[in-house]
Amino acid sequence: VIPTGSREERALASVTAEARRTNVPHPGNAAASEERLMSALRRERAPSLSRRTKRALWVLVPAAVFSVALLWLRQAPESADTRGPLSPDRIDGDALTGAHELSAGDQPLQIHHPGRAEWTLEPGSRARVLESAQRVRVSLLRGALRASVIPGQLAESFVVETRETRVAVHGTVFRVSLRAKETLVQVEQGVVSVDARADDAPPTFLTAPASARFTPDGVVGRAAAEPQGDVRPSAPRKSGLEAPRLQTSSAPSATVARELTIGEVEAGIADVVEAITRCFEKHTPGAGDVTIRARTAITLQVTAEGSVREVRFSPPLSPETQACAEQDAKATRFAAAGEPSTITRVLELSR
Amino acid sequence: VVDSEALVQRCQAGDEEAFRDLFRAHRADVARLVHRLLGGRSDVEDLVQEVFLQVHRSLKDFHFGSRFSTWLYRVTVNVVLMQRRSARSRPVFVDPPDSAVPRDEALLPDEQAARSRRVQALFRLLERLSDKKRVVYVLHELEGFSPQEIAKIVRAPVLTVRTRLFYARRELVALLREEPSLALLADRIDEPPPLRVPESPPGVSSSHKEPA
Repeated sequence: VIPTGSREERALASVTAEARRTNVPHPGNAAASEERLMSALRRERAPSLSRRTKRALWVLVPAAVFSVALLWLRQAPESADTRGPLSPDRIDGDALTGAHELSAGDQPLQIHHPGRAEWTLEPGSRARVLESAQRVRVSLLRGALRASVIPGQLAESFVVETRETRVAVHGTVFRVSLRAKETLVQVEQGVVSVDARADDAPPTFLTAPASARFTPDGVVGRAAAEPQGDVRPSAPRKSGLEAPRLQTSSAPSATVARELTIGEVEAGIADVVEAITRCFEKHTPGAGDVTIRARTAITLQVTAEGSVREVRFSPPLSPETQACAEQDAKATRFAAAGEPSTITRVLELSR
Repeated sequence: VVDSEALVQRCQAGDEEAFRDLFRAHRADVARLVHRLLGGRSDVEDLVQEVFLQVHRSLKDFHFGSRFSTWLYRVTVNVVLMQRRSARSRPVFVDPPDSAVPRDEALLPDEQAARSRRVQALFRLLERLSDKKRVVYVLHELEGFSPQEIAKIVRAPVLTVRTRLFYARRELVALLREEPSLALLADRIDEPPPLRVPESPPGVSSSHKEPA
């Protein structure tokens, strides 16, 4: 209660009563004020989430850094080993330079060339990496290796050299096995060219599935089916067959059937090539001084008894030439191999 | 009649609509107190918003140890005092005199203007008091809270509240003649009011009523 003794005291009581009775002006639009408040609350909630996130990050980031560091520390010794050429199970092949020699112990040794190839040096085997920059060139010194090569632009992106052969591939899966006096080449996918080092003959093309043995004197032998991984040295098995002498003019290719020797193939294919050449000359009109050339790949499906069941040309020849060639080719007889075979040969015909 | 406690419970459960209702129910009371504590300054609306933002942040900590209105006024006083402290070094925007005190249609224009000048003079004097004395004076003399209620709002003993009230009045009385309109009022306090001025409405009870 305001004292009412003096004039001033009473004046204060009076003006205070006036102020109390005075209605306070309403502060703006109530609805707008309400919406403004709710908007502010919504804005306030967003930063609160952000603060929560920040608090979470304060916990998670150090934990992640610690985990990465721990992982790195655990992997560091292993990574160091993989950079070296010898002991680790998986090696970065692109890091190998010069004459790195690899030796696989009881376990296979995997060599990885990112984007290009992977190859496995089988247990007990030894190899020397001669190149790893542009192309991978490996000298197989002992045992066997199996390579999977991704197709690239380089003509011979992966080369395996042995005493007897030089196996060059574009893109394929193959296995090269070194024996006491011969090299076994097994092709699982694609085509490899095998160049016998001892003679000047053109390389032999092996189209999957195929395998062949190459001896130091350049003889190509029929390959029996052998399980992969068999790298035990075995006694030399000289086939006594002559190395293939390709009859066509360029880039020949041959498929060596499991049950057909190269000699048997060559004997039969020579008749086919002679028949096709004859048909080509017969059904291709001459044009004076102009030389007409045709290049095609002929594939023969040979039955177990040695007869030709199917003849395919890719690309096809003229209908007359092709009909003539098919008729003569199907009349050809191969040696009875006991199981069906497929023979492919690239021909270049001219008139 | 709004059951503030029930609204608070719903707010604490995350009911946004309940908070809207709470705002609608108490906005005018908060605005009036802010206006009086600020002495008619123009940033009332901003502070009302800040009060309710603060209420929203702190509502989870309200455990019904007092009436919600008491707690709300405590928050309001604190917000205003914080604003005053932070604004001491900044310029203060004051509304034109006529807008600070609304017109009373029962008064003639000259009486209206005279009353407005007196009320503004009172707020100027209140501004010269310390925060503690001003708050107690406004809460008791203008808002009608009892010393016991004020003690809960400002979290001070009742005796302290009474003491602050006593000294607030004494300071105001001492300062009164520095305001010409109030000095004139003191000089004419014993004169009978003019006949043409209608009788003022009855005074406001000194005990606070929970806003409806």
